Amino acid sequence: MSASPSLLRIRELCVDFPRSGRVLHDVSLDAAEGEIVGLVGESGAGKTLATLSILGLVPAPGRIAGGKVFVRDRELTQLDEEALRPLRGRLAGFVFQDPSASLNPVRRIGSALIESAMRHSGLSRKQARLRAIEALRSVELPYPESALRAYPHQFSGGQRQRIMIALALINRPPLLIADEPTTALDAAVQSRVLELLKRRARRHTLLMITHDLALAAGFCDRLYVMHGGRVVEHGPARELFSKPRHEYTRSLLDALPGRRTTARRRSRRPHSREALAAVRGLTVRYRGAAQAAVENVDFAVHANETVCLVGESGSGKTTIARALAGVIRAAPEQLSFPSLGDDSPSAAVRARHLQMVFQDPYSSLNPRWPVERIVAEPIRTHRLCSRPEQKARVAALLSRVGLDPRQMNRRPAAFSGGQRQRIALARALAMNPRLLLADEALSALDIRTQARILALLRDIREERKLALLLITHDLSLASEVGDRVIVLRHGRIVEQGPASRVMNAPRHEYTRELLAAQARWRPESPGQ
Amino acid sequence: MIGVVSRLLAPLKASPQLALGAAALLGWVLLLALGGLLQTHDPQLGDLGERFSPAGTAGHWLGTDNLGRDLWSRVLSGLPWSVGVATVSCILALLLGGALGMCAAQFPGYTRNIINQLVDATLSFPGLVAAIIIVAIAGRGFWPLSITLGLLSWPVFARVVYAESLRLLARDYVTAARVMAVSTPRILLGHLLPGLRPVLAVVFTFHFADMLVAESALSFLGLGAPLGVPTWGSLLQESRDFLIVAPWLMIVPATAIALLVVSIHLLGDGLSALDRSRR
Repeated sequence: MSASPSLLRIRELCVDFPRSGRVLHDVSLDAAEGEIVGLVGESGAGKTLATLSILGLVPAPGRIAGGKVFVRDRELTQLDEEALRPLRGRLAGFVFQDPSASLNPVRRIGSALIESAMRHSGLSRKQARLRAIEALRSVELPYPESALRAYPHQFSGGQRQRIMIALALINRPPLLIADEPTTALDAAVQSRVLELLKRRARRHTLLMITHDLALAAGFCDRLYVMHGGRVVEHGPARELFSKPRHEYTRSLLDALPGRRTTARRRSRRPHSREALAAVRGLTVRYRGAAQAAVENVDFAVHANETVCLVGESGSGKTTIARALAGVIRAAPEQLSFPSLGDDSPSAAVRARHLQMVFQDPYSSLNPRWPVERIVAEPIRTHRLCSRPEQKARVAALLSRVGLDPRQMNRRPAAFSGGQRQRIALARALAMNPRLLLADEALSALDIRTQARILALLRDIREERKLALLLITHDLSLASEVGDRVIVLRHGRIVEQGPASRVMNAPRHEYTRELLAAQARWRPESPGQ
Repeated sequence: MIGVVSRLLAPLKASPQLALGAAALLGWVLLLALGGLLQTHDPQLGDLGERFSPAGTAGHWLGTDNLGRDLWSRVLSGLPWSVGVATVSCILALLLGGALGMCAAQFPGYTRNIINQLVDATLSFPGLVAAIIIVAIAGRGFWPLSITLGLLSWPVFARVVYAESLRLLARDYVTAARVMAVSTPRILLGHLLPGLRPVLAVVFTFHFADMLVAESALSFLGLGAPLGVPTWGSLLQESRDFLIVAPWLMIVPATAIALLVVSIHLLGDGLSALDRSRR
């Protein structure tokens, strides 16, 4: 590495915000020509801010309080806005997490590409068009000429991310900054986009931001681990992954699926015979859709077991959960609750039998309500206890999920994502359900938070003899917690069986594909 | 007692905008309450000797009109009428449009179709023609005018409430409430209505201004205020003939309308800022 010339040098960069004070502390970072450098850390660690600071894009009212940034030995922090603007497109290209949010939906793909090439590289319209076609070809998008005339919605998520990469590279910047470029994509698509990035990176320097330490270790040459606005550790990727020196890096590694200390406990007791919920030939077709969202799905969940429903986005996982929870109406013969002994239970009975935790902790709690009211909503609706007891009940639930009951007067905004997910869990548990649906309830959380919530879910499951139906796109998570795994594709079940069997000896081609895509960039965890 | 007062005043301290809006509104309420006492002259009795006195004249500090009537007293005596019509029609439109908009969002199918057709039908009706017909049947006066304006303008609220409700009802916390078997009225009142508040506040303030102007248009056609009530709208309309010789006749009521609208906007903005900060 030392042989290749340095492209980017950041020296003791500090960024201040008026309210919160210093948020970046003495960040130093090097990237050589052609190198892939990973910036790893949880949300709020300052990864994105550090990369935005390179080109003076610190969001107002923040400001760079000290340090230097060199790109090809040119110092950038002293330049003013006027001098920086023409440099931005030429020095660095950005790829963001959500491709649908970063492409303007009402503009054709071509207009964005061509305009950028004309403005930053000073090309004529004709030249810019050729350059745009070339850029789209280089990201392996089929039919680049006709793609220029298409709108973003005509492409899939993976294709849109390719277009974003083409847009970032069209002015041939030496530096490509990718901020969680594949987090929003499904495993198989993710793998292909990463392969593309790897190929392109030979001609550029790639600075990749990710919270996925395993992915970073397999993909990058060198890693910087950030925590609380500081770089806590850096070094060659493999070395850092196998021999982490800093305590924080170790804690990140310990939270990886398959390495969590809490992970190994699996319920060994025989499951009861009677199903809590049974799905027989469930078919759901949304109005106006050509294809059924869910077709002919059969499975059952028994007391005291954890079942994982695995599939990529659009595979019908959420539709099944919503049908079970009664949000979507399903034909009564397709869905039954044998343990209730009632073929068509009333909404209230069903609600006390089965509860749900959602993916997005920011949208699943009413932002206007204090926590006490949120957790008490089911208690009040179903008159589970008298008014005076209510407060004590809420306090007990909150402490059960590991929150301070004294905070019950605050609103959701005062809590972090993980804490909100705990509140949502407390609300679901208030009903004392026998079956808990968790619809991607962990995927919006940082890896360490994820491990903690998972441990909590497991404890509560054991304690209350709950059955858990965990819906996820993450196969490793499924294999870690599930007793049984059900793999879905295009609304149909392709494989189901005991977790260890599905993971170690997948029978269906698609399961093998998923497993391979997930393992592609991630090295085996050390110590396994 | 002091505790209650300081709790009520806390949001005012937090948002200067809200404090300003509230202060301005308080000023208007005082003017409304004390209107009769503050009038320096009889609003209807003119002194032809002092006609077209410009603003700033001693005794008539906002000037006089073509018949020598004191403009300050006329603006004050028109205040209850103008504000009353705008308030009543706005509240009527809000209640009707809000309820129908929420129902259209909550109940897809027939209910939604019928309500949306009703909105389109009302919007496609020429407002003034409809107003003329209704007032011709019901007669002039405060209540017929207010109710007419309310009945013709509720689709504004229905449209906005419908769109915002669709967005809010798709939130996971609403789905969570449905999974908990919370009843539909409770979802609408507990989850949906508080979420609509900021939007309603903004639409209400804009609509209030619209209603002030609409009242003036109808008054001009002779369908609004009974003759002799100097509403702000009719003051504006009368001023048109003397725009060159006596511009203050237009400037004074127009400024009054603008000031009232601005203070209501300040209040609305302050309320929605307060709402945001609480989240």
